[in-house]
Amino acid sequence: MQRRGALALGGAGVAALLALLGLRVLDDGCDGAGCTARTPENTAVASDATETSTTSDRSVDASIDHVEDILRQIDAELPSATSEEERELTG
Amino acid sequence: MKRRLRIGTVTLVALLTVGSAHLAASPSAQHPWSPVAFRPSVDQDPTATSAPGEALDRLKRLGATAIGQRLDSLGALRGSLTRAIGVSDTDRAALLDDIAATVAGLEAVRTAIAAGTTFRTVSDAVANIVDGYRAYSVLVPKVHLVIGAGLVDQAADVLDDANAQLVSLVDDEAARELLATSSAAVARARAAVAALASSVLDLDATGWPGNEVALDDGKRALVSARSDLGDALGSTAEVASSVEIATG
Repeated sequence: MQRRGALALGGAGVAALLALLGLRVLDDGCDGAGCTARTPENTAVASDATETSTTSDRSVDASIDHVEDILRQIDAELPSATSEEERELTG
Repeated sequence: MKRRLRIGTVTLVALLTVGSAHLAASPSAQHPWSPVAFRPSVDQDPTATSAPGEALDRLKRLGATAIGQRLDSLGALRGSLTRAIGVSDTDRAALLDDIAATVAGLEAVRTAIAAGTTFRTVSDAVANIVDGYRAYSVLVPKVHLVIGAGLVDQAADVLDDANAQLVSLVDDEAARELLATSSAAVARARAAVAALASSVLDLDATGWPGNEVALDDGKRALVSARSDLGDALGSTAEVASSVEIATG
């Protein structure tokens, strides 16, 4: 029992050290607070989260491209939004 | 005696020629039928170098060319306005009516010019191309300002949506601050053009040149909004880039 407790403390110590070093172990379901057993359910939840995140990234990327395109259109409008008195006089 | 008379006539003709050339060069010396004294394209007295019939034809051609240029520009403008995103249906309809009225008016002027038989009537019609419609001074700029304001609103909507998505993906304070900076810039851009369309929509040739002030103010508002949107995009893109790095 004592041996099992010592092992658990050791595992927690290594995890804490990794956390301090900024190394988060994501693949095996472990982090600085301990480990979560990998089950089909939580693997699926993790996949959903990744999928949602990736979809959002793509959506944001598309939005940024869209805004860049709109800004180019505004740039194209600006010269024509100038009163062209000279052209009026000579046209 | 005959010889002396001939010399006298030649001298008189020479003096008249020099005198009329001097008068033509003087800005204050305008024929009463001169279309618009300050307008370079119709400023010269066509009869000075041409027979009266030729001068009338030349003035008619000049008027037809000026009208053709405006009708081409207004056709392109109508297309741009029809395709423009972010312009309200009401504003679009009002501006399309303005364009249609100007086109109809210029076409009537073209008919009047073609039918004109005296220099006076044709020169009045030519002057009316500019003074009566101000297509290039007022109509074209105001339509582009309204289109620009609509584009600002569109870009602001897209940026607000992107910022809302990113807020749910980031978990550090610096990224949240960047998103707040972006949202504030988007709000400034919206505010800059909020009254732009309504401030220029009713401008027409009758208010020239006073209404140029409203057009200049509108241009400044659009430039300011464009600058804010550029800043907002920079902040949003920076956060989006950090999210991509974090999620691999």
